[in-house]
Amino acid sequence: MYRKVVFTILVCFTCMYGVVAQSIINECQLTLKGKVTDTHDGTDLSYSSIYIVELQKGVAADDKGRFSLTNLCPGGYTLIVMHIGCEPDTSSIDLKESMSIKLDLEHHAEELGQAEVVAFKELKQEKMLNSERRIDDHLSSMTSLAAISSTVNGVTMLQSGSNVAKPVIHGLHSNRITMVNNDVALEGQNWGIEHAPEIDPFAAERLTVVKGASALRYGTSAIGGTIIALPDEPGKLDQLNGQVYLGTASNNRKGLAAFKLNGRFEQFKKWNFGIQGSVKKSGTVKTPRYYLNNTAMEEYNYSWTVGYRNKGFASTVHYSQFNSDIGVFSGAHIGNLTDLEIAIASDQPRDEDKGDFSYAIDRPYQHVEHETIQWKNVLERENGQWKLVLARQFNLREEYDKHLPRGFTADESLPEFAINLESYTGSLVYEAMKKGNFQYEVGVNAITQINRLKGRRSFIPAYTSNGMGTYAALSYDKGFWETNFGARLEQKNYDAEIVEQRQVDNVQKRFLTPAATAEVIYNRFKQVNLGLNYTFTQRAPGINELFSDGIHHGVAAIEYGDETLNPESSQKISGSIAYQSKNEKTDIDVTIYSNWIADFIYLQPQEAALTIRGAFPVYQQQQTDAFLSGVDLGWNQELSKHLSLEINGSFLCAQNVSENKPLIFMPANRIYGGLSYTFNSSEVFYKPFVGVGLSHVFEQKRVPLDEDFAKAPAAYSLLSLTMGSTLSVGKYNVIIDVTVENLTNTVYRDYMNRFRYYADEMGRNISVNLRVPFLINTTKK
Amino acid sequence: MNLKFKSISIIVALVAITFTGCKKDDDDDHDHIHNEDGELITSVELSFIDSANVSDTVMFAFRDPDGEGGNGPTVFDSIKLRKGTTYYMNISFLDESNPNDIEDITEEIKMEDDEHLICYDLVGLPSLSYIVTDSDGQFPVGLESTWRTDLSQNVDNGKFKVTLKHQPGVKNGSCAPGDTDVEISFTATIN
Repeated sequence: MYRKVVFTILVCFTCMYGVVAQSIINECQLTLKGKVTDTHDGTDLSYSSIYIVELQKGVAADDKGRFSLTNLCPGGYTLIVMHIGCEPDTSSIDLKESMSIKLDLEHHAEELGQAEVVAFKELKQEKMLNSERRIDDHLSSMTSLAAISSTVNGVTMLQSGSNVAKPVIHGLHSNRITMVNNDVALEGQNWGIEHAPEIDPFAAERLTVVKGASALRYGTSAIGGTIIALPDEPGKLDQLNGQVYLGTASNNRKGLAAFKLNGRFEQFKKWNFGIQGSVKKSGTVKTPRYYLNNTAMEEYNYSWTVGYRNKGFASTVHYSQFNSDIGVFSGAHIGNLTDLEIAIASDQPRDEDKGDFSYAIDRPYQHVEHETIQWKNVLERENGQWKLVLARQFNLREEYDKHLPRGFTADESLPEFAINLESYTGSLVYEAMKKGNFQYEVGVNAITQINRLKGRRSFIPAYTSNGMGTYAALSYDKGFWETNFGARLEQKNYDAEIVEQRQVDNVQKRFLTPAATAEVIYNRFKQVNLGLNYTFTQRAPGINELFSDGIHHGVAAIEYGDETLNPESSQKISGSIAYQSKNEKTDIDVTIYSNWIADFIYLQPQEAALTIRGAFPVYQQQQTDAFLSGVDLGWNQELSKHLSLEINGSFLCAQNVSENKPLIFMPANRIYGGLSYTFNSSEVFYKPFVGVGLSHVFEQKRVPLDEDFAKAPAAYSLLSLTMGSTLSVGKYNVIIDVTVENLTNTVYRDYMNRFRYYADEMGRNISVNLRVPFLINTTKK
Repeated sequence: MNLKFKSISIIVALVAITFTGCKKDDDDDHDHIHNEDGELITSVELSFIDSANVSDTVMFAFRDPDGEGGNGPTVFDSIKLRKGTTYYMNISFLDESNPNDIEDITEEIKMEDDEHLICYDLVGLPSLSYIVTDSDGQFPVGLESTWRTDLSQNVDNGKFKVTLKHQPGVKNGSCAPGDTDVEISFTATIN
């Protein structure tokens, strides 16, 4: 009896098993088909890889972004979609029957803390006045933020030697450009031309360049433009994910390493974190003919983020630190006008300024630290979202001169001067959801700053500064048309302590500056995109323009500020045309702009001053009316399946209208042509490519007579070579890129390098960079 | 469990960084520039002593007590020397930026004489010649020198340029290497 029952049960089990097994065989024949596209512009993301976490099974999409997974059982799956240059993304699907899905990579929808700019649509209108760069696509130029920015047409670099570069947009830089790092405007030594922006490019995921002052959210002073660095957003994925970067360069024997790690805590899904760091070290720079003594540098940066995200609310604390020591070429740190004239007259630097290769950093050098801690809160309501960002920034700049301090009691480890700038900023923004054809955004922000000084001398005074601003932006679209409007009002106060004859004199300056922007965009069938933008803005004079007083040893000049300066007013009109052919093989974009700046603040040379160190040229901050006009051209052409051509150029004409002469230190016209050949992908090499580029920089012929110490350098052409591929190594993708800059080891000098008086530019440089994205699967099933 | 432990340790680490991370000005009391730490050279004095009559001394000076920039020099003498005379010349460098505490920097130059060189350039003064009489053991220094004016009838009007070079590690007897600490071009008359 007993046995029978057992038997029966066993039989039943067997039957059931058979039934179940049968059904599995039947059901596990589902097919999942799909297509991966870029949410940005809807283009197909060819050769993406799609990975099913639960099955540990992956497939690669074809050239149209299509993929197909067969023999799947019904059930819930987590898909990870990866594509070169995109952050991996996950999607969950519930598979009940064979289906076809569309996967968007890098989708912004419903994501908190997404990128926005005023007027809002700008960021999406990439072909318009903004250009976006994905940091990872520019491995070879990852050394500096300026270098990456300068891959955008119309953006060039202003350099002080090989290690300090800052971006120039349409001829304007320093005080006239705002840098925004993770929603907070960078408050550093923006005014200093020999000072690079204190942002770690490895911490950023994307960089957006807004040419012109239309990014009103961040202030009225960005007459030149705004550069917005956006870091990774942690917590997009369940998995721990990140990247490792390694790089080296032959010329200055540079080594760099960086990593990123983002994730979400499994137990506390609402919490996420990110951590990131980079180190960089390089030695003496070599020109084709000699080394540049004391041009080593080192830098280390790190940041971390902890975020909390619940339905409709996100709060993030982000901390970052930037630290660098930069050796200044000893031959550029000169005594007086006689030394400068000797340096200019001789073809090569003095022997003591050539030296040999070394990683040592001696005087003169600069030490820079920047620390930011910020707290960002986003509250999503039905009609829109609120965003509150509070931040503290600390910026330290120390200058160690070549001239050691005199006196038996002098401490040689002290800098000649140190500037401590401490800034507290807060901003509150409300972005309304789009309703019908309208969308709007309003915001207020406030800043308070304390600038402290230390050392034996200084160039700018100690001061406190307070500011407040408010803005509103409105967007309206209908059919093919879209319009954006924005307005801003800003108050800026300075309370400076001017030390003269050992007496402290308090000087107060108050500035109220308005700004307004209007933009019309006509966008038809994705193929033609026309835009017209008008922006009026006023910029309050910067602290150096008002109060600078002292010697710049780097350029052997004495600079005087002027307390009576007024804000300068800019009116800029830009028009742009973007065209993409139907087969997407041709891309053309053209931007034409004219910027009329009334009361443009600039340095006017004066009669040389007599000092105990000899004669020094004197510059006085002055105002004039200026007119800058130019054109940026870009043309990308797919010639065949393998071969593509890129041509671009930027041209600028800048005039001091009041005095009827060209403006000094404006970037020369330049053109670039590149050919790139992509080979067929193989098992190991994904899309290997080789490219050759030729850039030509014309001689700057438009220079004011007798204002510069030396003639503008001659035109030059540089040849570059790049090759790269994605290698599949085990379960990792390794993106590798080898670049040779200045392939022919050409001797040249650039007009926009302040050290062109003293030495040639860097010679041939071969750099090898690699990037390995990784994903650690912590979901155990 | 393991991951939870990791998560917690990361949170603890991050909180720790938060509380230790904030940088600030480490010395809030000294908001202003203080010149006390180092010395400037604000003044140069050239004392010419007649070798035939050592009590006959003429002194020519350059003084710019507020340093480079700001106000111009308060004293900028013209050098006047007699014909047919041999002078011993001593040059001194001073920091007169604080009138209550004048520092003599000549001593420091003397002590570090292997790092310093004083050069003299004469333009349009054919009747004036000199030799530097001091040495760091290998190369001249220039703090002490002997000057001779000839007996010709011509009156010379020219430039007498004094340059102080700081040449740590690169001194080779010539004026080219190093940094210029002082460069003054006096007008000079010999009659």
